[in-house]
Amino acid sequence: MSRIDQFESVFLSASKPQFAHAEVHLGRVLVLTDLDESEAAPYGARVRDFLSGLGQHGTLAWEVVTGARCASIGDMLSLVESWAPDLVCAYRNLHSSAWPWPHSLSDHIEVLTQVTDVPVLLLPRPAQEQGWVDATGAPFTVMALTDHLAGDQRLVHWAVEFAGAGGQLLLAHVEQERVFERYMDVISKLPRIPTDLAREDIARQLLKEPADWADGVTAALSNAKVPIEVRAVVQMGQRLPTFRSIVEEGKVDLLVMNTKDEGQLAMHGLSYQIAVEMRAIPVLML
Amino acid sequence: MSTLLALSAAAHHGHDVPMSTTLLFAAVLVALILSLALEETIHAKKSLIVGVFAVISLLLGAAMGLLPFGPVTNVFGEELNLPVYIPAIDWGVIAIILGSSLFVDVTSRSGLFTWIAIKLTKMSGGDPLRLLWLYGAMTVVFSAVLNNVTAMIIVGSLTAVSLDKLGRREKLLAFLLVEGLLTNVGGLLTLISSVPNIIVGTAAGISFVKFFVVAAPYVLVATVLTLWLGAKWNGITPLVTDEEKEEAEGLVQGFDERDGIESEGFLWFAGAMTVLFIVVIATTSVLPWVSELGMGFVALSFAVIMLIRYKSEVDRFYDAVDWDLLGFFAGLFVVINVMEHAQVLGLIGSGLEKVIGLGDVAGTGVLLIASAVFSSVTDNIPLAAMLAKILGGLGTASDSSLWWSVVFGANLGGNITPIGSASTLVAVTIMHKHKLDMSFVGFVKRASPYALAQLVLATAYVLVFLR
Repeated sequence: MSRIDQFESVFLSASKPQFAHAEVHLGRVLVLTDLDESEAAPYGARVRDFLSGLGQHGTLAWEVVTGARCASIGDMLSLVESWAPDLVCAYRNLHSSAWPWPHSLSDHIEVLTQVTDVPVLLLPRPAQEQGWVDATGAPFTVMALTDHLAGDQRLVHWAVEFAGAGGQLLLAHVEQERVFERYMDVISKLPRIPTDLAREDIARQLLKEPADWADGVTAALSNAKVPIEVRAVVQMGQRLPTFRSIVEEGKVDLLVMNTKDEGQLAMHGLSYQIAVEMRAIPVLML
Repeated sequence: MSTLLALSAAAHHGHDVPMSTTLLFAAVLVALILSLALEETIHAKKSLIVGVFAVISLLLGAAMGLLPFGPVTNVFGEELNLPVYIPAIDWGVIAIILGSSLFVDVTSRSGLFTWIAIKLTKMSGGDPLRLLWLYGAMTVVFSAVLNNVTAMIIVGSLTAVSLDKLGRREKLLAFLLVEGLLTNVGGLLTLISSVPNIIVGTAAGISFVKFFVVAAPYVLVATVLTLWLGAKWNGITPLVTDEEKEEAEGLVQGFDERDGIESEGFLWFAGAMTVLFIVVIATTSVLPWVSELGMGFVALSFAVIMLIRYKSEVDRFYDAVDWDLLGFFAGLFVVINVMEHAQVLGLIGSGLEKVIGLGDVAGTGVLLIASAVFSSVTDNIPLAAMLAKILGGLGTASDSSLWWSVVFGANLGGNITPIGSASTLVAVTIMHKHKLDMSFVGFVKRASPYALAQLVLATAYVLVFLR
């Protein structure tokens, strides 16, 4: 009955997640800092300037928070809950002295991204970190990345919003070559599975799904007349160095990625890795 | 076939077989039928079961001096030394099955059947009732054009995927059951739609066109009846609200019918070849030269033409051939041939003569029902092969309704139990694959009302229109 599997595979492959364009609601933006009043205000202005290209920028309500108002994690969460923002802007190592050692994000940021459902725009640390100097408002080149790109509607909605009219959306998917090779190594030792065929077919299917998704996104945005250029980068490789080179080559202004991972309390592994290591670029963490 | 009939005639006239010997071989035949019925229980493939019985039959036949050893005379008048079991096999039937399955397999690679299946899914707009009717119609057409096993595999696989996508998994069992039952209805449509049709039709000398003209009205009515009952008994109703319709429409639009298409040109070529295949098969009996070469030649030729597209990897398609089925046929023909020499078929034939002797109405009706009951507990192919041989031996005219009793009974009997036909077995396999509970008894309980309706309709049809 292997032919049942064959046809089921054909139909499962033909069943694709569909992208439907929808605008994200953005009404209230909360800017969290660990600065005093005199430093927080210009930083808030800088953030406003950075987000000046957002379609809903003109109607946004802003609140810039000084360090004293959210020194503890509890205070910060209460503030977020009571003010109910649609977007929180902050930076790495908020309320942490560990910023000279680029190995973490800080307790505040890690808890904030996991406890609340509000997207967090993580910016380079004021004064100490460079990276967003040239980026003053959309249109941006925004890269949406995940370890499973196909079907992630919310990620694309936010990325499209931040790219702005005339911007560029880069849909990136890097399939882990090391993991693939590990499985191929096992398959090569299984006599019932033809190794060459498995390598060819599995590699093709792994890359086909995100590529199909990217095609669907392109078509849907075009149908919805969203003035944005979509590019897909789907390839096999080592994730971090490959994403880093895509960011550099594509002159990416902003990364958008998911941070929550079902079944675990900690931040999603790939997102944490990128947020920690690619410090010179703003990251929108969903 | 002619060689086989010649051997048959020799067997009838050349031996005087003691009744005890005939009964011994009859017991072997009963044991074979029981073993096939218990195929799932004894965990053995059909080809092996029949192969074992072929070996036993040949050894017993040789030991008892029943087999006609010696050279065989071919159509050129030349004497050939062939093993006795080689001319026992109906190579015409084997060629049709091998050629058709290769042709269908290569054509599937073009994405043609999945393209049609997904287009129909999209046409349904995700509405469960429309989906049932469209899938039902597709099952019948695919069963008729391809074969009922392939049809069940294609439609059953798609049903599982699409109902999952639509969030209507609770209806999967009902859909698969109705589709399984329709494969045997669709299998009645043409001469090449099912193996019993090929065997009986070939033995009776019924042309493709004649077969289609006779069977089509019944298939149409039985399909509508089965789908109507299926929807009614399983609570499959149309979507009501606009929100439901919009959501379902969005979900089915997520199917990409072009996903499996490697080459647009090959897709069109495969479509054209499929139509041409049906036309040539339908007109084989009137085409010059081709009529002499037969349908097996047509099927193999089309398979060869399609295989040219994959000339460097044809071995992959050879691997995919259902060798179990072909081995089963080869073994079965050998067993039946030995049974003929042992005059077991003659014995059954004399019983059958009594049935036929019941009169035009009762004889035809009883033969149909008996064929259905018999083929419900074992594979319908041995039944068809045996009855075709017996009816042929009795000199039944090709326009006799008795042939149709066997055709309708052998096909529809497969709907009473899950082991009655290969396609209902595939339906149950898909159910089990998706963790749906369906026992033998459960299948009989759910399927027999449909089967009864189809059989009543078939009996009335044969008695009223074909007698």
